[in-house]
Amino acid sequence: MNKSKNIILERLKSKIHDSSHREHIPLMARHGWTQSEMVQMLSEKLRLSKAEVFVIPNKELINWLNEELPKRKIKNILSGEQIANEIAQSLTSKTELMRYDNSYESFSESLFNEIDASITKSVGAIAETGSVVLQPSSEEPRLMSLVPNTHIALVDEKSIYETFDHIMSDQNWSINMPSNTLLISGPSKTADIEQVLAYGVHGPKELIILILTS
Amino acid sequence: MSKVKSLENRVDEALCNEQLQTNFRAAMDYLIEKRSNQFPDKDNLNTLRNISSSIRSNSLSKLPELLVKLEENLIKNNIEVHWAETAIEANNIVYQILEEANAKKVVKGKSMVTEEIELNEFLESKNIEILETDLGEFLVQLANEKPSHIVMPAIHKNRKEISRVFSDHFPEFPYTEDVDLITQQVRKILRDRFREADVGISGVNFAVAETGTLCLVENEGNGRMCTTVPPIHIAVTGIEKVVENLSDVTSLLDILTKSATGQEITTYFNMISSPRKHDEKDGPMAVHVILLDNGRSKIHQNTEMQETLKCIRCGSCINHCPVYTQLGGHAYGTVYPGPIGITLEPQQKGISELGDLTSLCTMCGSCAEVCPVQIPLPKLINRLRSETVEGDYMTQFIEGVGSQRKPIESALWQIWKHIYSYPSMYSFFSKAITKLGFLSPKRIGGWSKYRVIPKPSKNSLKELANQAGFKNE
Repeated sequence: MNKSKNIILERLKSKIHDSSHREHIPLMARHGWTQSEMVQMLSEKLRLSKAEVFVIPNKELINWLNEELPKRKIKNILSGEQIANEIAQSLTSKTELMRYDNSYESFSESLFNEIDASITKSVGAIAETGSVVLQPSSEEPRLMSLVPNTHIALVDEKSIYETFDHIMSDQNWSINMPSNTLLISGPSKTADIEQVLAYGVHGPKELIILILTS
Repeated sequence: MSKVKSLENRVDEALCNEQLQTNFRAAMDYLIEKRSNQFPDKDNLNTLRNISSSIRSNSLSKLPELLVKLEENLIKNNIEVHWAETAIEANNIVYQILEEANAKKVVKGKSMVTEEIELNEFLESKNIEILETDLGEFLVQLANEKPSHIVMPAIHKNRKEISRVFSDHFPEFPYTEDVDLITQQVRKILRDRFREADVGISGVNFAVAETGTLCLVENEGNGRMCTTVPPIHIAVTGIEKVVENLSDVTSLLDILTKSATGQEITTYFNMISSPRKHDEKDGPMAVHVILLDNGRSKIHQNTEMQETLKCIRCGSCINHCPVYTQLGGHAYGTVYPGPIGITLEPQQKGISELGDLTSLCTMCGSCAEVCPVQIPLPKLINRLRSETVEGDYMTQFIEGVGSQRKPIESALWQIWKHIYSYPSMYSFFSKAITKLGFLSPKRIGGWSKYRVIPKPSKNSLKELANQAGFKNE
């Protein structure tokens, strides 16, 4: 194995290249969008990608869930510890609260076959592209935003950034990348058959973004 | 010689297939329009192309050190790194990982580099079940075919053909030509396969040296399934996919999705920096990266052709190529079709085998105009074209330089050169050709197969001009 490494590296080094042709790449200038402009842009872009977006006050979250989940025939919802603690008391009996408290191997059957929806936090959102940014953790594992038919993601209105560059640099990602970082910009989709758009191929069929205001 | 013939045969076949041409024309028009809608401002597009091109050039100019840094940081992140100089070596590494884990079932996300090393065929020969999970790739695999486009693999099939293939393999589902229904049926079938798989295999769009991060771009979510659900994830990547800094990926992602499918961004951008950590509940227990050379370091040595390696596989040169639109992808007989294919493949596999591919270009220049990283494709193709017939300094970089030279062709060009070098000779020949025009052949090899042979005029242009009253003006 190391033999191949040496052969490859030797061959690559054998040619001396002009290494000066990198232009200095400045961070894209800030547009100076206000928070409400960014909320609007994020919502518009996400809706264009077939995501549903609701802007609601933080304290209305539980009411929204109690009203919307039964309407959408969502019988259970998977949530991390923190959100579970916030909503457990007030969630109607029509919706069962599920927790991802064991490793995937012991949870796989319910995850794939029983769970209707999941609700996760986000580390922010990108207005320019209409993306929600997730950094899954032990509290909110990676598959929560992939396997259930409906994924609900919460976005704090203060955590919307103008561009991908800005969230990356403002949150210092390059210092410490978590195991997995995801940009999600709509429900799963494909155009592989005659360029016809079809939704819900492998990931969630529905993506609901709740932008929470204070 | 047999190779040359078989390319000709494939081209013949494609040119006689009107359905194929209609499918491709429609698909290319759609992709061209979607891309163009993403770049309303030409100045902004050019700025983005300059930035992207310079990011890729930077990667190539520091390639050895960036690869070492990438390896260091991947290892720091508990990702195992393997180096493969050849396709066979890469396949063997994959097989070894599978054997050690006693793995029998593999799911795969869309990846051109694994097509390049023919990983599916290799693993199948070892009795491993390997399943493509991207919808288009899945359908192409069912039909026992190869992708005809690097971004839209099933672009050559219309929905009727797809429905037939699907219902032949899955008679338990009612026959349908409804795209939504087919999609939902595939979802149902593949969800179990993801869960049952022992290993998930993917490609890589960008490998970030600074942080040891693997970036994957996709819309369907099958890539995320393959890299998250099975206990082992193997990512195979060409060595050129490395970028220096995390901040490099934002511009490249932006121009990649806009150029490839005309999307502002894809549904998922998946950045993987570690297998499952001890306190995490899901994700693969082990992640392996295979850094594949397969001819790339040789291309890298050649200053002129090195630009080939800047490619980010968006497929935009293919979408804008008039030859590809007429022929479709299969006529090329290679993994990568279109302008990037005829540039890359002869360098990888040699001119003796694939040099004739360089003729599949009209030198129209569209590919260079749209390339997001400014690869001067027509210039490179032209260079390769001349290498097919005359040996030059490239002998050390490419196999088979000069191997396609034909004595009659080169003799004719020598005569041509002499005629044009001497005015008296030129005048003699132009007279001879106009006066003896009736002797001109009715067929000139393959050229006249699709064209009417023009007849020389009875008078030369000079004579006609004299008659019209022009005097050596």
